[in-house]
Amino acid sequence: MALLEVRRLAVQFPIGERLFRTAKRVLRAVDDVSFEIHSGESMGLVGESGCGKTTLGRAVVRLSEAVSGSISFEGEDITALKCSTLRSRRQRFQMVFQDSHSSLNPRMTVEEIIGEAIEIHRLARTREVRRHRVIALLEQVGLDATHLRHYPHQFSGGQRQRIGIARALAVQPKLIVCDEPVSALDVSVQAQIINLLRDLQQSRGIAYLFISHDLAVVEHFSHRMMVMYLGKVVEIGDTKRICQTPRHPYTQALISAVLDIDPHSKRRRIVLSGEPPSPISPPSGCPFHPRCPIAEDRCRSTAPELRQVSEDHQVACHLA
Amino acid sequence: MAAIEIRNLRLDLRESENVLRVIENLSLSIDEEEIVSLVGESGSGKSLTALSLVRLIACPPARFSGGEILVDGRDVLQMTKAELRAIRGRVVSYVFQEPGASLNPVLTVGQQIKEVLRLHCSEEARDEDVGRLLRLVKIPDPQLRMNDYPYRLSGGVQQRVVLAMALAARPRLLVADEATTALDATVQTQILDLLKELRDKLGMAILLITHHLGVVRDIADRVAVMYAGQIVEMGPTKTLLLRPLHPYTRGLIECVPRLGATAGHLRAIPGQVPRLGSYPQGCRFHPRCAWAQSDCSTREPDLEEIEPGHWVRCPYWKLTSTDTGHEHR
Repeated sequence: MALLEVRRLAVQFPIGERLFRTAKRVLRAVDDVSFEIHSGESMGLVGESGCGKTTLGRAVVRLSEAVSGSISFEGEDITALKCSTLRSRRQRFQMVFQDSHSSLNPRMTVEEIIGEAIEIHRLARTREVRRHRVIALLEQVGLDATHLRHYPHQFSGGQRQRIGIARALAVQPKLIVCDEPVSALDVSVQAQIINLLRDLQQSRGIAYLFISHDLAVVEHFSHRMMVMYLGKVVEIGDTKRICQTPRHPYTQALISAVLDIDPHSKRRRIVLSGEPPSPISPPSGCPFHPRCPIAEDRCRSTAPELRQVSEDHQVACHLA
Repeated sequence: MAAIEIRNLRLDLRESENVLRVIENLSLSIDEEEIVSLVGESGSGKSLTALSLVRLIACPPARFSGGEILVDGRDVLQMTKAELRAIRGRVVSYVFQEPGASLNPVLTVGQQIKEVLRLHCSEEARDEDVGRLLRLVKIPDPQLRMNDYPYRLSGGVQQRVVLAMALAARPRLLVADEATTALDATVQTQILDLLKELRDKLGMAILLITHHLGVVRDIADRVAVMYAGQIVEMGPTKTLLLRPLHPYTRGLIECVPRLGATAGHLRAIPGQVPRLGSYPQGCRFHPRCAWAQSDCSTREPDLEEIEPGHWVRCPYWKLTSTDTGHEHR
């Protein structure tokens, strides 16, 4: 059984909604997305800004509400869980955010920030026990007891991200949704955080939904991956397979746009024209057809469904 | 010939009681039509270096405490306000990271570009001139886009508009400060291609500031790596990326995951990037260096030319470049 199973999930935002006036149009941020994550596995999610990857990540932990579809966690449907039950279930799935500056309360000390989660889920009986747990967590993420009384502003970006990770770990979750966890960090510190997340996965069997715009990071980090474009998954499957033989023209372009450091590399670059269209008025047929170098007539009229092209590799393209 | 030449530049910042030396003895010359990249992490002083070129830094709190910046044999640091105005935009011009923040939200694209044209060129700026600039940066339908407000445009198109404004007075040097960083990968490659094309077409030099070595390898002829206010290594792009000699440069190259590389642990550089101006004694990189020797914490290394055009600020570069470093970590 999969740890997380998402079926035909859709998230929409109304546009121009006011009091006594219902919205005429909707933005389809996530449109009919299905995937699953097994325990101890990391699933990468790539796409450009506005493709809906953050919304999908938030919907999975129920920070955004779905309009249709279902999310099951360990076999239990959590799509419609109410407040108190949802809170207790959240012990098993946590989130780490991109901006460690705005996701940590500036008026709380590190001990309070990490301890709060332990408190809410009543994981420690006394203050002493709680403090010991916080210290143990800090040590796991490469900080120590001397940091307990410090406030977020006293740390560098990389250290703050470690605090965010310790907070997520505090309740011993089985799944962590990481939304661009390293994008705001200096490159020399990025690698530290990636290594940390990976070590935690190996020692605790945590599964990740790892959201990033950086394909090289996703390839490095995740077992499986999916590529999103305008709210839809266009390619999903085994990471190595997708990166070596991408079948969707959009994935091919994304991979060719990764700027390689090696001066000898001779990767062919596919330059896409234009930019992603607005998800408020997506194009007819395949959402990628206006930028696709190989689009045909049927791409303009019929939207392609995801179909299996090889073992653990699905693509939504008529021509793949 | 050099388009601009920095010699032994020193810049101080006053922070309450303390004076922080944020740029230390920096020398860099950029030839005509050359693309030079300045690489470094936050707090390394790369943006301050770029802003110094035409003195776009408020003094005080900053103070230029030494060196010179030469344009046509004249020192920018000695220029009057009027002389500075004459070279800003015309000799050196800038494009920054967030195009949305560089554009005025209440003026149309056309109005903003005309403002720049009026300032630099003629009294009368016409729609044709605006159209020509927009075509230069390859914006489709320039006649339509001219009447758009910035919020209607995507990040990539906004950056093209900013670029058009920067090119209005045909500068000799374009400074692109993380100009592609906030853009999506597929748009980033479009802008990088455009920059290369503009260099060839207009014959201008480009100083590209970035933290991304992939961008460097794509576009730059020469690279200068900055760490903690100093250049630690400088050389032709290919040489530097294939045979980095400074431990920091090596670290930067090794710590980024690469497509198609085997998975495993990334070689992270331990520790943190030091805060602007508060740099360690001796070699500024020594607390994070895997090859640090006993005298690295006391002796400040000089930038030495190891082979023609390849400069390194590390007396132990031979150790670094031959050793795999495994046993040190």
